[in-house]
Amino acid sequence: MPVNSKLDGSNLTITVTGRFDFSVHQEFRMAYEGLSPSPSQYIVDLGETSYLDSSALGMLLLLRDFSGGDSADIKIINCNQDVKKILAISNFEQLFRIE
Amino acid sequence: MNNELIDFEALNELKDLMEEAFTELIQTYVEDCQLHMQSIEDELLSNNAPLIREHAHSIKGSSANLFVIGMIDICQNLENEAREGNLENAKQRLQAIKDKFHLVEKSFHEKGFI
Amino acid sequence: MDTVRILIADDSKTDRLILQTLLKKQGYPVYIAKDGFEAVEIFKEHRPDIVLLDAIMPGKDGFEAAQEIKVLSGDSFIPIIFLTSLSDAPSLARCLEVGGDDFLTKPYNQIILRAKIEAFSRMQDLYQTVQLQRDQIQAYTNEMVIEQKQAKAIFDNIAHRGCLDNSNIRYNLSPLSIFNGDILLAAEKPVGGIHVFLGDFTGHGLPAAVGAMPVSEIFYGMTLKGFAMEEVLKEINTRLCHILPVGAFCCAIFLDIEYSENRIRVWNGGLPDGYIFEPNEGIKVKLPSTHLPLGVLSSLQFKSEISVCSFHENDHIFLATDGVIESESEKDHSIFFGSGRLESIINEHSDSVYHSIQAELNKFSGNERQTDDVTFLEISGKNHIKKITPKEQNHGVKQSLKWDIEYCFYVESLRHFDPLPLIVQPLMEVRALRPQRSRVFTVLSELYNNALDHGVLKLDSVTKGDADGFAQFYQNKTNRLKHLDKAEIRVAVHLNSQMDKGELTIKIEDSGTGFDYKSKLKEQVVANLSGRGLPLLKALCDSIEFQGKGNQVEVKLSWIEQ
Repeated sequence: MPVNSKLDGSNLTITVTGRFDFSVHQEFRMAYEGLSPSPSQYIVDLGETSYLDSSALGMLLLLRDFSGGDSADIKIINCNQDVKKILAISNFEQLFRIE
Repeated sequence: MNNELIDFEALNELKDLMEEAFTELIQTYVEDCQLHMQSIEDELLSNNAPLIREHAHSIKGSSANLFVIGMIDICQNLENEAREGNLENAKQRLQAIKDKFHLVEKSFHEKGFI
Repeated sequence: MDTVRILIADDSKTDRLILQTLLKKQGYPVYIAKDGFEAVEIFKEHRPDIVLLDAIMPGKDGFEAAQEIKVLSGDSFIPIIFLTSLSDAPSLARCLEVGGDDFLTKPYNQIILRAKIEAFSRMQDLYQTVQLQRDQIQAYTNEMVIEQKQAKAIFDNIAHRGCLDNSNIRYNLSPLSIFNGDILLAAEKPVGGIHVFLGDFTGHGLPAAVGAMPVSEIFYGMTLKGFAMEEVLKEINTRLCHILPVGAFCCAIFLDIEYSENRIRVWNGGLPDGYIFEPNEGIKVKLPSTHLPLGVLSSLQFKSEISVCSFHENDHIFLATDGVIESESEKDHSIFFGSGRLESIINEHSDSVYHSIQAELNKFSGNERQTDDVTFLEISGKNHIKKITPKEQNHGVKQSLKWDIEYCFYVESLRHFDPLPLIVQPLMEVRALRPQRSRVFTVLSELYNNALDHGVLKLDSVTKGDADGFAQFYQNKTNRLKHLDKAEIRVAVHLNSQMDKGELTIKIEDSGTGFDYKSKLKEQVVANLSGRGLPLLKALCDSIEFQGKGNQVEVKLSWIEQ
């Protein structure tokens, strides 16, 4: 399964393995939708992610919109060089905490 | 080599399947064999090996379909030799086929198939 | 299944009888042939679904009949089952060679026969389904290609008003790039200089193309009306936020090339670095992405901060979407062109960057079509030679007009708002003024900017000389605007247009303290008075007069109808 999620108290960690592209669209959404009560913090772990494209960026935006937009608390962690570069070009650190 | 002339168990199964067409089938088989045997006799006069092979093949085939096992090998022998162009023993082979066929007809009579 | 129609071809009456009876009893309609010739004729006439064929038959044998039947079958799959007591391998091989699909040996077993027929029947159904789907897919694809062509035609009508074909611009843009989400626009500003927009929408196909259309409209509409790049960007961002779904966005670079100021203003949201380079010198400045792409931040949060660089006649600028650096190598699909390679090419071939990149890309990807699909461009700092354009379309009736318009802009407006397009718009409704658009706009722009920068904000224009100076100037301006308390700028326009000539009088008054224009004019220290200098106003206007404390200027422009 390319997308795994773990709920720890009110923190939801979503892990994406392999290619983070349009093919994981459904799974990624299902990982955070419909949780009751909704998590207060979201962590997207890209440690096992080999590759990120613009549809992945779109999915992150969807997550942000879903979890409150400006008031959302989302951390993106364990990014490798390539992933960091892609996030940097799009200046996503202005919207997400990237570690 | 099975010494049985006809596998009646299998033939009876076929009889059940064929139902009312069975009688016609036996008649057709008998007529077919007679025709082919006559043709072989005729072809022997001109030593036409290929045609002899075809007729022997036909008799063999029909016999197989009616579980007349006793006819298969002797037809096969003639077929093989004719394929190689060897008609030395053809006359005897034909006679053997005719004799065997006679027995088959008799057997069919006994069973009431004809 | 029971509508499977079967052809039996066998020269043995016995065999025919058995097969016929077995099959009819199982409900299959049968056709009978006694030899190869009859088999082919019956096949032609009745087109059975399956053929049971005896190999050895007089006249035309099974092998020959099989070959003919296969040809007659054409595109359909008609299985041929050879009836054989042949036990020698070469003959069996021959059956397959001529197109046979299976064998049935004697004695015929009813169950085996049925199993084979059913299996082949299922295979036929599958085959037909696949063919049908293939045809459907082909039809849908054809439809889609037509629709795309239509969409492209609509887009072309919107997008090709621009100046991409100017002599100082070279661009590589596939005709179908719109369906890759790539968009390239360029338009001349009424004051001179050009705006350039390079965009890359997420996704592809019609959704990406659709986003490009409002962007083009806004870009061309606003640029032509004289709006500044910040405002065009804000408007594009706002529109995209409305029409694009969450998660979709447009990475873009927006350039404002001010040839006369030797200056380029840049906004880069999400595209790879742009490069300013000089032939024989290599890369001088990189233009990295400092903003989020368009369509992500709401209009309130949108950031339009611009980077400013000097851009002289000898300079060139190179821009590309990520298609270039992400091109795959022909030899190894995991190797990408990369920004390192791109920069080397620009540095090593700085006198022929456009062609060198094209050539290298072709070589690298081994695929000219792939190169066709990427978007990049090179613009030179030399202002292009204006082609003689046909007379601007002049709607409206010739008539005499006389009116006054007066605007007053208070401090709230001065802080946030560029009023020039607002002032120019009513003027453009006057038919006679349209050929004068550029001239009128430049004059108004010059007057207004002077009134704001020097009159109200008391900024010193000397620092505007170079790129750093300009950045400092802009910084100061932004600060002073923020702290501006009370200020006003009045603009009064008087139009007197007759049938074949006319005069426009523009008076601007700012609430600043003015300056000692009488002595300044005497000293001929004119460069200090404005960015491009009083000479420009003098060149464009019939007369200029300073009034009051030096915080009032009145200019007159006249024209004669050609």
